[in-house]
Formats: sequence, C-alpha cells, structure tokens
Amino acid sequence: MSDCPVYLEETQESMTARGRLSLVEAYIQGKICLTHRFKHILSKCLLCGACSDACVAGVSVHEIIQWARTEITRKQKIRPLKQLLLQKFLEQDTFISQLLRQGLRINRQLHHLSKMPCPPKTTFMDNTSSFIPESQGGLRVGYFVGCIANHFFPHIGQATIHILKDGGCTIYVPRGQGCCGLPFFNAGDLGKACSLAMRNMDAMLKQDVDYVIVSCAACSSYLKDYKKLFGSDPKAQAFSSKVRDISEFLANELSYARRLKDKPFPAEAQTLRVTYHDPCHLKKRQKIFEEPRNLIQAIQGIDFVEMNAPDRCCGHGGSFHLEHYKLSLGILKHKMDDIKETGAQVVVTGCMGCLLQLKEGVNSEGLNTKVLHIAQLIDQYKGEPS
Amino acid sequence: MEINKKSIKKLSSIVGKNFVKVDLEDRICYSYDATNLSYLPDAVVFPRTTQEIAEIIKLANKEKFYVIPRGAGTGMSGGSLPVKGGIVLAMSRFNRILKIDTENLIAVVEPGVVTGVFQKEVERLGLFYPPDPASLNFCTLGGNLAECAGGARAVKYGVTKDYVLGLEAVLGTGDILHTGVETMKGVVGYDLTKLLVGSEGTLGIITKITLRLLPLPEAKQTLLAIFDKLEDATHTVTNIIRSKIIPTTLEYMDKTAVFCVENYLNIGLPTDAEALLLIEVDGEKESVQTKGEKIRIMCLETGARDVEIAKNVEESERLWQARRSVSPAAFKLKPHKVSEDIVVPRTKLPQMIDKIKEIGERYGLTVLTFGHAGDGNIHVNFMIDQQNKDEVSRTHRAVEDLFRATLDLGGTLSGEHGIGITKAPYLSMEIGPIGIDIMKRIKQVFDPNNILNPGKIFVE
Ligand SMILES: Cc1cc2nc3c(=O)[nH]c(=O)nc-3n(C[C@H](O)[C@H](O)[C@H](O)COP(=O)(O)OP(=O)(O)OC[C@H]3O[C@@H](n4cnc5c(N)ncnc54)[C@H](O)[C@@H]3O)c2cc1C
Ligand code: SF4
Repeated sequence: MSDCPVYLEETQESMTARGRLSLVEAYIQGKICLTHRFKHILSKCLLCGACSDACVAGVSVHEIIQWARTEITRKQKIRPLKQLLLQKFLEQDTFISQLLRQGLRINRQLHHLSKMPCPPKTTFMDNTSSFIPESQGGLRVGYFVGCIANHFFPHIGQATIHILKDGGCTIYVPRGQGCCGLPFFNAGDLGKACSLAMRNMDAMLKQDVDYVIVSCAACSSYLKDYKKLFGSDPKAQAFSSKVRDISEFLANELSYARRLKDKPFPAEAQTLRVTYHDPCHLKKRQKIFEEPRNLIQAIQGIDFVEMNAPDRCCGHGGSFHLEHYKLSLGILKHKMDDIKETGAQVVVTGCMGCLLQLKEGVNSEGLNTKVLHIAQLIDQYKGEPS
Repeated sequence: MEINKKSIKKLSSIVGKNFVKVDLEDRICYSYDATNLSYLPDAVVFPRTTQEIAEIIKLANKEKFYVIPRGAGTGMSGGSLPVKGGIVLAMSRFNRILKIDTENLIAVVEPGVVTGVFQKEVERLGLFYPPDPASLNFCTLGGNLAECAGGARAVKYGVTKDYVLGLEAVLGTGDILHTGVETMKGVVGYDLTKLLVGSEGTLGIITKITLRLLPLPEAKQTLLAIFDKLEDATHTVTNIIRSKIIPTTLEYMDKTAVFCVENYLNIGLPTDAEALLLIEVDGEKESVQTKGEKIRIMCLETGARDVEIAKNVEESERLWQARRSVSPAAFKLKPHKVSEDIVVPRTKLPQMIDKIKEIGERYGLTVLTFGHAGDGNIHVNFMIDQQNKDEVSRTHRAVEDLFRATLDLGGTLSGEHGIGITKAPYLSMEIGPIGIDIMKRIKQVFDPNNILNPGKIFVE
C-alpha cells in the first residue's frame, strides 16, 4: 500500500492493491458489474508491479489487474477512441500510421502531447539497413527496435547499434518487426497483442539469431513474456529465451563493463555526475538493476550517485500517462525531487517510457539535467573502437 | 440508522464533494480489515482538518449516524469495521509529519502517517521510534495508538503507549480535546492521553499526536537459534530473560510456522526443527557483540542444535523476512485462520505452549503459533476452513479453553491486537463487572450518543 505510487497520490483504499483485488473478487462473485467507477479504478494502475514485489504472499497483483482489464475489453465491444488511435499509430507501416505520425509533427498544441518530443521526419527503420555484418564473426544478434525508439528516438537505436558493433556482434534489424504489443496487452486486447507478437517472432527467428537485443525495458520484459502469452508453445519459448535487455546483454554476454574500464578517459573531458532511475520493467519484472549500475560505474570519469528510492515508478505507465495525465505528473514530481537532490548532471535510464516521462519532467521544471538512455551514455563515453 | 441524502449533502459541503464516496465500489474497499470480515459502510468520508471532523461529528449527533475512524485497515480484531453501518472516516489525508524536534527528541505527527514511513524519517536524523508492528509498511500511527500496537522490539522498548506524550482528539460530542504534554514528564490531572491510547476509536478521533523519540542505537546483531525440542526453545527464552540481558527482540516460531514459511519462501529454513528463535540485540558496537555471543552460548547450553549469526544486513533481512511471512504463509495450510494474541508472564511460557498443543489436539485443530516470546505474547492461530461448520464450532470452544488457560496462568487476552468485535464476547472473562461498568460510563462521558465506532469492545 505504501509502495503503490498511485495510492501515495490518491490515498484511497480503492487505489491500493488490496482494494483493487477486492473489487476484482466482488466482480467475479457478481457483486458488482462493469461500472464506470470500477473501470476507472482499474485503469488508474500503472501496472508497475511495486505491490507484487512487496507482497510477502507472492501474489502477482498486477497480473490479476491485467487479467481484469482483459475481461473488460472482451466484454465491451466498442473501443474507446484513444485506444483506437493508439492502435493505428503503433501498427506502423500503414497509411493511417503515417498520417498520425505527420499529425503529431504538425499539431504540437494538441492537448499535453505538446510536451512530447517531436518525431523526426524519418524513422529509425527508414535509415537503417537490415543487416550489419561484422567480419570477426561474433555473436549473431537481432535488434528489436520498439515503437518509441523507431518513431521518436532513432539516435538511441543508432547508439545501440554502435555499441553492439563495438562488441563484435553481427547485427540484424529484421524488417517485419513492429510494436511489441504491450500497450494492447495492457489495455486488455489479447487478440491484437498475440498477432503482433507472432509477427515479431517470425521476423526475428527467420534470421536464426543467437540473441534478440532490446533497448527498451518495457519491450524486453514483455518479449520475455511471450512464452506466457502463448502458453507452452515451443516457438514462443525459444524466442523468449533469446531475449536480452541491452544492459543485461552488455554486462553479462559481452562483459562490456570490463571493456569500458579499459577505455582511457579523454584528457579534455570533465567528470560527470550521473544518477540512475530503475525502470519498473527492468528492476521489478526482470530483476535487472546491478547490471546497468556496473556498466555506468565502469565508465572512466563518471561520478555515480544513487538517488533516494531509485526504483520508485516515474509515473509514466504507458497509456496511463495519457489517460491520467495529472496523476502521472503528480507521481513524477517525487521522482524529480529525488533527482534534483543528487545534483546529478545526467540521469540515465533504460526504458523509453521512463525516458519520455523524465524528459517531460526536466523540461517542465526548466532543469539543466540531461536525460540519457544507457546506450547513449555508453556510446558517448566508449571512445573510438579499440 | 441508515444515513439520509441530506446528511450526505452536508458532509460534501464540509469536506468537499470529491471526499465523500457513496459508490458501491468505494464502500466495498472500506468494508474490511485484516480479519477477513466485511461490513458495508453507507459512505466513506476523507476529512483533512480537525475542524472538519468536529463538524462531521456534530452532524452525526444531530442526524444520528455512526462514525467509524479508520487508519489503514490492518487491524486484527475488526476495530475499523462498520458493523452497524454509518460512515467510515478514512484518516489517510492526515498524512503529514508536522515536526521532528531533534533537540527535545519529540515529534508531532498526524494520525494517518504510515508507521514505517515515520520510522525511516526519524532514522534519517539519527533518531529512533521503536514500536514496530509487523504491519509497519501499511499501518498508521493513529491505528497504532488506537490499538496500542506492539511489535517485536517491545521486549526491550515497550509498546506504543510508552511513546505517546500527548494528543489532540475530537470526542463523540464534537468537542476538541488537547491532552498530555510536549515534555518528558507531566502529571497534571488524570492521564487522558493514556486513556485514549488503546480506546479503539470508541472515545474520540485522534487528530494529532506528540511522540517521544530515542537516539538510534549504533549497531545490532541478529541470531537464529534452531531447536529440536520445543521445550528447549521456551526454556531458552526464560533463561535469557532471567540472565538480565534484555534483547531487542526475542521471536519464536513453531514447527508448523517454520514449515509454512519455508514452503513458501524457500530460503533454507530447517523444516525438521521443532522451533526457531529469532533474537536481536542492539546498542553500542562492542556491547552488541558481547551480548550476541553470550546469547549464542546460552542457546547452545539449553539445547539449540545450531545458532546462526547474520553476517550483514542482507542476511539479517532474510531472517526477518521469514518471521514476517508467517501470517501470509499460514494460509497455505487452510483458507482461514482464527488468530489470538494472548500474553502470559514470561516464566509461564513453557506451560502455556504445552497447553496450546493440548487444546489443539483436544479439538482436532491445526494450530500454528509464533510471536513475541520475549514478552510472553504468543500469536495462536487456529487454521480452519470456514465452510466446515463443525470445525468452526470446535474452534469456538478451543478459543474459550485457550482464554481460560491464559487467565489461569495470570495472563491477558490480548497483548496488542485489541478487542474490537472478535474478542468482545470474551471481555467479561478478564474484566470484572465493576471494571466493565466503569468503562461503559467513561464511554458515556466521551460519547453520550454512542456515535463513535459502535459494537466494539463491549457486546451490546
Ligand atoms: C500482517 C500483519 C501483522 C501485524 N502485526 C502486528 C504486530 O506485530 N503488532 C501489533 O500490535 N499489531 C499488529 N498487527 C495489527 C495492526 O496492524 C495494528 O493493530 C495497527 O495498529 C492497526 O493500524 P491501522 O492503521 O491499520 O488501523 P485500523 O485497522 O484502520 O484501525 C484500528 C483501530 O483504530 C481505530 N483508529 C484508526 N485511526 C484512528 C484515529 N485517528 N483515531 C481514533 N481511532 C482510530 C479504528 O477505529 C480501529 O478501531 C498486524 C496486522 C497485520 C495485517
Ligand atoms: S501495479 Fe503499481 S500502480 Fe498498480 S496497484 Fe500495484 S503498485 Fe499500484
């Protein structure tokens, strides 16, 4: 309860894990129906998993809330407009998706979207070839780009490619991949989620890669969950077992921290004070939190400081941010206070949702702090290929 | 006494429309606590100021509806349940720490502050608020006061009432009472502060609390002693107390508890052991080590198979996790539990434990015991399935036998969970007619129209 970021803002039992579970139970028992209030309460959950993490009884609360949302979507035939637009946008490569993308570029005044970064003219996929060979014949990896890197942050995709190359990997960026499907899964649209997952698995497995590398924590945790989505399906099992988050892959498979330690500190550079925000999808879902820290601390000239409660949710929560904008910013406020307290010049994270949210926080507070994806930081400091 | 539309309107004008909830969904969320019982309130109200509460209570007196204060709803005796309907007064917006005075070692807080949050805040300043109910990550200081909550550290540091210096409360009349002091001592008039502590929301709504703080001990050490014989463990407890080393905590888990926890956490607890003692000592660095060593030797002398000393914070956290998981882990045995928190004089612990075993056998019930052995406070859990009517009736009889045995040994029915509704039928076993009569008259004075938390403590 005191772990739930939403409860801490709203201080009502209906916003706690226990409250939500009682309502789901009441619904199953037929005591309440799909009322507006019930749906509203379920929608006001970040699915951050802080409650499940804290539960000594090991109840996976966020999965139950997730299940209830699926129920709702199944029962209600008409999809809200917002969800429909999101779906069309994320489908990519379609005419409507292009249209929406352009719309986003032009109509910067639209609602609070104006605070989001403006998508560049072309996407990451437009500018990247699907195969980047490496003569040394290292590991064969497939890069899963994800929507936000593709549409908003192509430079993060580039940074990831640079590091993988530096690590001696042969890189595939298979066409045919698209949205990981998480927004649909979270909204309870299982059908759409499954068809997107199929598409991604086909695209990656066709290339016979050793690993599927993902630079967004939300995507990586969800790709690892494909095996749950498809039950015991061997293809999904095989796929999920190849998935690695970029920080995990660098730290473990490539032992990249050691490489970073050996890179000389450029004489003209100044030490940089850096702090790190744990994405919920990395720490709580994948238990990855030491790896990114080891990598950051291995970089010469970085003065690493922990912020208070680094794993406290930033409040983005995907579509939660759109649906409950004010609440989302209320949750972000605490994160910003903790970041400011460290006096860090750079805050690093590993999830595109967090990145968007932290950037918005920095912008609206007019701070000088830079928000970087871990791949960007490493790429900037890794120096020339050794 | 169902609440009328007019009253709901008035409540909205007092606290604001957003802070009065009448939807079924919200009422369901305020219908339960940790007892697994549930009663729907007519509405939930979220006040922000003492003045608002005073107005609400006055309205309640006029319009005749009940008011049930609620902290976090972690109570184990049904204290916050609206058994007769009425409004639940959710204190969650009273969540500010108003002052931490590092010179005078006191703090002033609002009652909705979560105990664990408060502890972390004072510890950051090198201070210490000892009462640590196992629910500290959720429960509120207001709820702690109303139940006089204890915790594992009570062996050395006492319970909530030992740290309350003064408070502000809105009485059942709507009057605002200020009691107590902001000093270390004070004997001006009757001690109304202590009277409100443990009053379970039946005398007044606590709106502000002045607490005493201690300096944070420099170091601590955690030990886990494993016993092959139950009586060896209980004798070790009495030995340690007799030796005049007062540990910070002296917790006990029986075989069933160990089995449940291990099944559930897989952290390598010895499931073949008959009992475990979890012991912590604190103080200055050197003294902690000597005390720890003395206790280790004492455990081994009285029959411990092995004594494990936590080498670092993580290890100690693992041991504590085991202890804190007993309650939830227990549900793997049976879907429901009836838990009692009796206390006996510490020397009577071995006898009491034997008695509990015997009662369980007599009624054919699965019993799981654990708790604060160091102060004689044992949590006795009868694990049952409430669908099984026969089992339920056997449990009733077992509880009565348990209470009888407790009182025979000079003990008391509840150490820290309070009477609420679950123990109300047994109150007269411990408190004589004169005691009950005086209590009821006190209730009359504080709350003449019986507005506050009806149906609690006394059977009506
Ligand atoms: C897993 C678990 C472990 C626990 N471990 C312990 C333990 O080790 N030691 C222990 O002592 N208890 C323990 N408890 C019991 C419980 O946590 C305590 O009784 C706690 O003090 C209740 O606090 P709360 O905020 O949840 O109060 P609630 O349950 O909401 O209310 C408890 C009582 O306080 C009254 N009340 C609440 N706020 C106010 C106020 N502001 N003014 C007046 N009355 C008020 C209510 O009316 C009610 O009668 C445990 C409970 C759980 C679920
Ligand atoms: S998943 Fe996060 S937001 Fe949702 S109930 Fe749990 S802690 Fe709260």
